[in-house]
Amino acid sequence: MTPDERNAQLIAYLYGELDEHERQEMEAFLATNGEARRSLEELRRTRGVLGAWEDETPPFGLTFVPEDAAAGARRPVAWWWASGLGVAIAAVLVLAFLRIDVTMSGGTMTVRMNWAEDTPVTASSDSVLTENRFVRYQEAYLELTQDLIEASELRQRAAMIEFARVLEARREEDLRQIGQGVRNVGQIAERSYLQSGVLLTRWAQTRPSRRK
Amino acid sequence: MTEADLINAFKRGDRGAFNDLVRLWHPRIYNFVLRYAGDRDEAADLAQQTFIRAYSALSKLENPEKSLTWIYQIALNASRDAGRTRQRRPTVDVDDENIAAALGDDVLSRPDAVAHERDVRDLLNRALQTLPEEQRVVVIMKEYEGLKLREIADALDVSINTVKSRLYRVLESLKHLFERWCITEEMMRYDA
Repeated sequence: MTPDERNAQLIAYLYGELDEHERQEMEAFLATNGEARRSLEELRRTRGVLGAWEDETPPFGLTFVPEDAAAGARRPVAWWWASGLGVAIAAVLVLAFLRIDVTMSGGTMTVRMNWAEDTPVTASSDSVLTENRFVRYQEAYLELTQDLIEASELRQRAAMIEFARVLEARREEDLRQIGQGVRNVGQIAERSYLQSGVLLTRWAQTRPSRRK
Repeated sequence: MTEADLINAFKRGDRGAFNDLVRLWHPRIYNFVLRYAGDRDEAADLAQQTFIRAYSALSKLENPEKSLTWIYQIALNASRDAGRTRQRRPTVDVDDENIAAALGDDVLSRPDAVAHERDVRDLLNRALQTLPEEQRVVVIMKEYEGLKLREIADALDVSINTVKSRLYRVLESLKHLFERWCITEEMMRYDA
């Protein structure tokens, strides 16, 4: 065995990668060769220094395939099941929100809208909507609409008349109060004028004569 | 699931299996390219490039049982390509004076575990960067990645005896370097 081959075997021994026979051979050689033992010990010490550099955690994780897409591709059955469940939950929520009760009894579907009146709207399989019936419904609907409009107009007209009457009464009252105010101001001014005259007369009578 | 299971699942169309492979491989590939390139930012970039290449090549991997050496080959090729194309960083001749100047007199003596770890990392990084590339790869794959000699030979496409010879030479080189730097195994341990 050449020195290079011996060194190569020493490396394999150092890392525990010799088979059992090779390992025994190497240990026999080491037992009789002090230089080889020292070399092996130095290699171990060098490894010990290198081993002080511990692994580091990568600064960020890597994700190459969107997790949603990955999950979808991996579990198609679960996806469909979840989708169906989602639709069912949404339907229940809508029905709950609108407070609609749907019941089936004897071929009749009854839809009850609890937020309105407690009168159920019933549709049965033996009620047939004919053209005549549809026309009558439409006529009745138009007539009702017209009545509502007329009633609304009458109410609006009566409201306008009442509003005008109140406005006129308010205006007359305002004018009356303004007239009264003007009269009061006039009386006060007249009274002040008279009082001033009286005061001037008294002052003139009590004033000492300069001629004296 | 084993790596081979995940690779086979990927080949069957389960693209999400690649995420699991990345989670398995990313830490060791990151540390491999970190020790190869010696720079964290570059290592993060190289690890990402490695997995981009792996994603497009995985469906053509013939032997999923050898996926570990395959991913190291990709990482090494990405690192070598980056080394060839990038403008070389200003290099420092790592001799005794440079080491002393860079690390100061208090090297490995700071009473702080974090600082000690950083010093150790910087020191060993400098030591690895002094090595010829072919020797550096071998020692990283063996000492830090724990690959078998046969796996290293496969990854580098060389004989197993070549791997052993390179390992012997690189450990001898490092032994002399550490002697010059007065670095011992005991100094590298942190005792609070």
